[in-house]
Amino acid sequence: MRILKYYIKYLIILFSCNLFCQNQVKNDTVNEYKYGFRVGIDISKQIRTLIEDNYKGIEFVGDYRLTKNLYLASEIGNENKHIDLDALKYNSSGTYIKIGIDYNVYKNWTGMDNQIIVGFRFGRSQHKKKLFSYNVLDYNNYWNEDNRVTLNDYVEHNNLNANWAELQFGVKTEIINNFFMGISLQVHYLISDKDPTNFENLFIPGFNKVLTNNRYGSGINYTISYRLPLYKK
Amino acid sequence: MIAKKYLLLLLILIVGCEPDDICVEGSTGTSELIIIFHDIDNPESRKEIQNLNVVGSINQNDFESLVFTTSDSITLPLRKFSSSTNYKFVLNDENNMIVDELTIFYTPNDIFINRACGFKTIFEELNVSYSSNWIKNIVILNNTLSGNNNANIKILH
Repeated sequence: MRILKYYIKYLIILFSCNLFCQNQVKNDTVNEYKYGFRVGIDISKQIRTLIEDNYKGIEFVGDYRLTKNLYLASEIGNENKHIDLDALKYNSSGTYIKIGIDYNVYKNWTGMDNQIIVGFRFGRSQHKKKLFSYNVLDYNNYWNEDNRVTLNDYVEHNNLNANWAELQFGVKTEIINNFFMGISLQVHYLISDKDPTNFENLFIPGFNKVLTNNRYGSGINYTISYRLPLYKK
Repeated sequence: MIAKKYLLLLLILIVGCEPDDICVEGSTGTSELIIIFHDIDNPESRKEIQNLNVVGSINQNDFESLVFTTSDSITLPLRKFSSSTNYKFVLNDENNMIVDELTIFYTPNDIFINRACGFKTIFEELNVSYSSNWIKNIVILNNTLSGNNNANIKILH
C-alpha cells in the first residue's frame, strides 16, 4: 500500500510536468517523428529489489514504432518473491514475457514526442514454487499439538505457467534527446494457469498477487528508456 | 484531461487495493472422528450411552477427560502428527465403571485450504483395534475422515 502511494505521487508529478514544463511555440511546419526501437528498464523493480527484503526482480521494456501513434511493445522480466505469512511460507520465482500494442492518444506540439498510452498485452509466465512451511488449521486443541509444520525438504512445484491479458495506461515523456521516462499502470486478467498439486498459484511473476476468487490483478511500472532512431518520417 | 487523470487513479485504487487475507470463521479445518452408538441386540437401531468418559493417552500418559452424557453420537479429535490415536472409553453404569481401550490407526494427509487458512489434515485408511468389555463390536462405516459430517465408526454395545 505504501509503494502504491509512492507511485501515485510520481504519476501526479509526471502529469504536472507534462502540462507546465513545455514552453515551445507552435509553428506551421509539418511534424517529423523519429522511428526506431526503444529499449529500457523498469526502475520500480530495481528499487523494490533494494528496499524489499523478500523480493528480487528485473524487467526490460521495449517498443518499436509502427506508425505515428502505434507501437509494437513488449516487456520481459524475472521475479523472485519470498512470502512469509502466518499460514504459509513459500517462494515463487520465474520469468515472464508480455507482448502487445501501444497506442498514443496524445496530440504532440511541434518538435515534441511524448505519449499518453493505452496499451494491450498478452502475458505468459513460466515459474516454480517452493513450499517451506505451513500452519494446519485445527479448531480442537485437545492433544496440544504444535500446528506449525516445517518441512525438512521443501516441496517444489516445477513447470508452472500462467497466461493473462493486460490493459495498460501510461505516459512516456521525452526528457532529453532520445531519453524517455515513463510510468504505466496495468490491469490484468488471468486467463489460465497451471496450478501446482495441493497448492495454488498465489504469486505469479509478471502478474503479481493472485487473489482468491478474483482473476483480476494490477501492476505498476516506472521506466527509463532510450530510443535508437532508425529513420524519420 | 483533469477528469481522465482522476479516473485513472480511481481505477488503480479499485484494482490495486486488496482485501486483507483473513481465515474466515467457520472455514473447514481438520476433521474429527464421528462415532455413533448402536444396540448389539438390535444392530440397526441407536442406543445411547448414559455417561461416558473418554480419556486420550499417549504412552500411558492420560490427557483430560472428555465427558459425554445421554448421547448416541460423539466426536473425537485425532492426533495429526501420528498414525494412531489411543483412547480409554470409561462407561459409568449405575455403580460400575467399565473400561475399554480403543486404538484408531490411519494415514494423515495435509490438504491445502487457501492462502489465509493454510492447510488442514484429513485422515485416510481408518482402522480400529479395541478391547471388548462393554464394547461388543465396531463397524467402520467410512474409512476416510474428511469433514463431511458422516459417521465414521459405529460402536455396538
